[in-house]
Amino acid sequence: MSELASEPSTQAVGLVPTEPQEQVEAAGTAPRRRGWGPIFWVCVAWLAVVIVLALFGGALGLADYGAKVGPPRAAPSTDSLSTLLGTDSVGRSVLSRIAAGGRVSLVVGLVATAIGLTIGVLLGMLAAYFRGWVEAVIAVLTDSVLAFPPLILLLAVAAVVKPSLTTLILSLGGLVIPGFVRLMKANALQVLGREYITAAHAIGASTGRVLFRDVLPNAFFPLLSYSLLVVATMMVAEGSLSFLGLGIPPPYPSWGGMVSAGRGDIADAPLTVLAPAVVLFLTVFSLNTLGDRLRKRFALR
Amino acid sequence: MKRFLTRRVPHVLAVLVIVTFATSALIDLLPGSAASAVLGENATAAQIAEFNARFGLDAPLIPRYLAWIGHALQGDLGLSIRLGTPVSGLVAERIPVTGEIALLAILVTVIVAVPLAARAADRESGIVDRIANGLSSALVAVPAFVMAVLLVYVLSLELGLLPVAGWSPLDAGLGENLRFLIMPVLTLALVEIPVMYRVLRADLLTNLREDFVLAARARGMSRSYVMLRHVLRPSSFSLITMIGLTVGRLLGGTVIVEQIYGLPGLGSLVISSISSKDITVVQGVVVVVAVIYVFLNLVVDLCYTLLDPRVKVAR
Amino acid sequence: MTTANTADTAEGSDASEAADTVTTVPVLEVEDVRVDYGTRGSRFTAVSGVSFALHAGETLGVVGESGCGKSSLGRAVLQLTPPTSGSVRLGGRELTGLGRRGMRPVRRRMQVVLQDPVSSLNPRRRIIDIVGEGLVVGGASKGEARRRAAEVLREVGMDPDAVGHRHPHEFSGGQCQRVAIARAMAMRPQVLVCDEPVASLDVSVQAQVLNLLADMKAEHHLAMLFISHDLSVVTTICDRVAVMYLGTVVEIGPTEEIHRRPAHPYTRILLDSVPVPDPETVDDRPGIQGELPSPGNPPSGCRFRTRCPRAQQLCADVVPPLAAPAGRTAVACHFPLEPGETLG
Repeated sequence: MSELASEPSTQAVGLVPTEPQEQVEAAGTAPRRRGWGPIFWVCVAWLAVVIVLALFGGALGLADYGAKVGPPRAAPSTDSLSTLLGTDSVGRSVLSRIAAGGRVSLVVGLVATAIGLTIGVLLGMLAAYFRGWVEAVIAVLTDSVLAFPPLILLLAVAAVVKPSLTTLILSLGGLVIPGFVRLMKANALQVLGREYITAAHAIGASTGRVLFRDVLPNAFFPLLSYSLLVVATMMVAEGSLSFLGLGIPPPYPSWGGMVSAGRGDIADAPLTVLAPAVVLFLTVFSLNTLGDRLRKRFALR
Repeated sequence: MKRFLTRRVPHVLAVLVIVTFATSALIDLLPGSAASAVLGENATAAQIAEFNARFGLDAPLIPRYLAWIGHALQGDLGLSIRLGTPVSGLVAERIPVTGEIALLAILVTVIVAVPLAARAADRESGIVDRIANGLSSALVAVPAFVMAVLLVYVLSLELGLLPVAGWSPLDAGLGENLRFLIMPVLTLALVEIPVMYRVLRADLLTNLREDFVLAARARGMSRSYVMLRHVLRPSSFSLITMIGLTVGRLLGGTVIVEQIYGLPGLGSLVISSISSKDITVVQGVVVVVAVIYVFLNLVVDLCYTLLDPRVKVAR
Repeated sequence: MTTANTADTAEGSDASEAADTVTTVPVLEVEDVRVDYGTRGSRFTAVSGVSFALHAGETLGVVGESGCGKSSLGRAVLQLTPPTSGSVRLGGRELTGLGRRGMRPVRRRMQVVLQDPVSSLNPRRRIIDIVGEGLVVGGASKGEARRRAAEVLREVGMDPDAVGHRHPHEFSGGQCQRVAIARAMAMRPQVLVCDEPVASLDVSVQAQVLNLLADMKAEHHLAMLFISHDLSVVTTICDRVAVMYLGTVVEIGPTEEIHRRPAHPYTRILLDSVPVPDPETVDDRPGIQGELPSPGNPPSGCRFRTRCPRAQQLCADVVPPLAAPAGRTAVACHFPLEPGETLG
């Protein structure tokens, strides 16, 4: 099977893992650096800024995302925090809307990933441990989800269900289960081949004990770094759906929706498009970078 | 090979059944009903009954699914509930557009990504490698819709080089056709190149660290010969897999560019059908794309089994 | 010495009748154990009809090339891979057919030390918890388990206060193997199965671990099954040796006997292939020829005949039974070697 697959390409799409980076690391002629490097910390700092803005924007003096703070398409000014990035076509603060959109991105990204991770890890572990028909059933189910190009599946759901935060999170969460299942199964199989599993059986440990004491902790940690990449993918997916008008319904802002809405004004007020686009780019870039670095450090050996 | 047929084929059939069944079940998930979505809230019971009978929506899920799959196997995907025309016709009309974009995009991706990855891996940490790595990790973080919007802004609005949106069919002349295709293809390729580059580079580096590469170099073979014969060749398996995955991804990925650049492909058909609640058309497109995707993966697996000597040894 | 040898020989040659020569009933009795792997289509037999008995305070070595089924035998004895047929009795109690749940209360009486010292310890747990885990599984309280774990760690020569709270990756291979031995000993087992316990250790460390195992055996009157591919390791620690080839025991007897007067050609070849550390010696002993045949499709008759310099037509037709010529080790060969006879 095409298992060389392990990185979500961030394009709302490659939800099957795809990059054999671990192998390279395992071959490891490159010297292992101890420090994280400056780029890592810049990314951490950027994510911190996004989180603070999204959660405490109001407390920092940002206007409400729906409130008019100036004339339409106003140029950026340093008069107040709200006008720092100018205003949109109806005079609402671009920065306020980015902060509010960030709330959506973060919630969607984190909750959907958490759902996918929890279910995926459990299914993957069971498939690896029991093999046989359990594995076959899980494989057919995950492959059925993977049989749809992800965006097409999201569109199919959007066709029949009214878009809301809950449906968005649930459908995205369901979409990433297969990737986690595959990765967890591969890791768990590797762990199950270790002698401490034999040793655990030899002391009479129960199935549950072996699964949760020996397999889970050892196979799970490498998945956490992968999860960061999935969070980024989820944010892009949410952005793409909102861009197509099938995400969080307006007037609530979202980064993808802002890019879409601002397209007509790109010549007069480029920031209405560029600001959310750049914020989305930097956030995705940071999550990818952190995920990559963590993965290299905590790869299963 | 026998093992491939006996294990893989039943699995794929099971997947296809689930996929088609799930798309059939979409209609039942629709809040209200398809009829009220098309006929409006004020439709009479008789009108609704007539509508459901006409589109075969009156049967419960299982019989409806069986009837649908019976027709689908003969190439009949039912009627559009909005237009009353056959879905298969609508889909067939759109496939060439999406297919052309996807094929051109994968072509450009391979032409750029493969030599770049080979060059970068050959001199790891060299100047080409570093620039390509930096660019690829940046590009990988640019969503397709952002890329499209930026390209339109720069190439059309600022520089005026290309039309903002629109389409000219192939029969109306290749030049005009390509003029409309450049930006959509460029968007998709820019999104896919970094993905393929990264996977391939990592794969090549793994191969380069094998002892047979060292042995070949020790025998005095040139760098480029070793790269071509000993490194790229084993990596061609992963390349095939990558191309399969990418084509599948592009089938979904074209939705965004078709929408932005106003191209009459499968993606824009789905989007317009969603907004007009034309559920049978959505169902048809989703099934067609999913089936193509499943078969693509099967073909990739098959190539893998046929080409990789190791798989053969292991039966 | 001579008398001891004869007594040993008698016992070794027919273990099931050992009761009348030695004082006690064997702790572990293995009878006609067979292990098949795989499913329809690709089935092969890893162990076919192995029998032996093991007494308290005795060490039986099992040697053979990789793939001869020695590890499968160890796992079958432990019921980790339940044998396809045959019987394994611990203190007279039948273990086959007990199932995983049924085995649980019996587990602590039969413990295992595995090959890879690093991979045999869960990297995410502390040494003290690894050693005490079996007791916790057996129902002991956490405090009790820790107390016992500390005690055993001291017994294997480690300071529980210094090492108990650390993780396996902080230790060398030899130290990890000590921990693994402590984990097994914490359960106060009667039988200890050692599956290649020193194979992945540096030679300098091997002796220490072997000594520790020998001490444990002596102090706790353990019955030990010692599996190894290395004949020289086996001879230093075992009372008796069973030589395995393609899933069957071809020769079994006291170590001293096997070493001095091997009866099976295969044993002779194994002994001859132990390198002599003397640059002056010209090594003209015949080595083994050919590859190990596939266990999925073993040769007819005597399984060793395809590589045996003494093979004749009879060997292809009739499976040689494991029998003891008077005063010799038990051997499965139609044409056993006379004492002092060499090959080729």
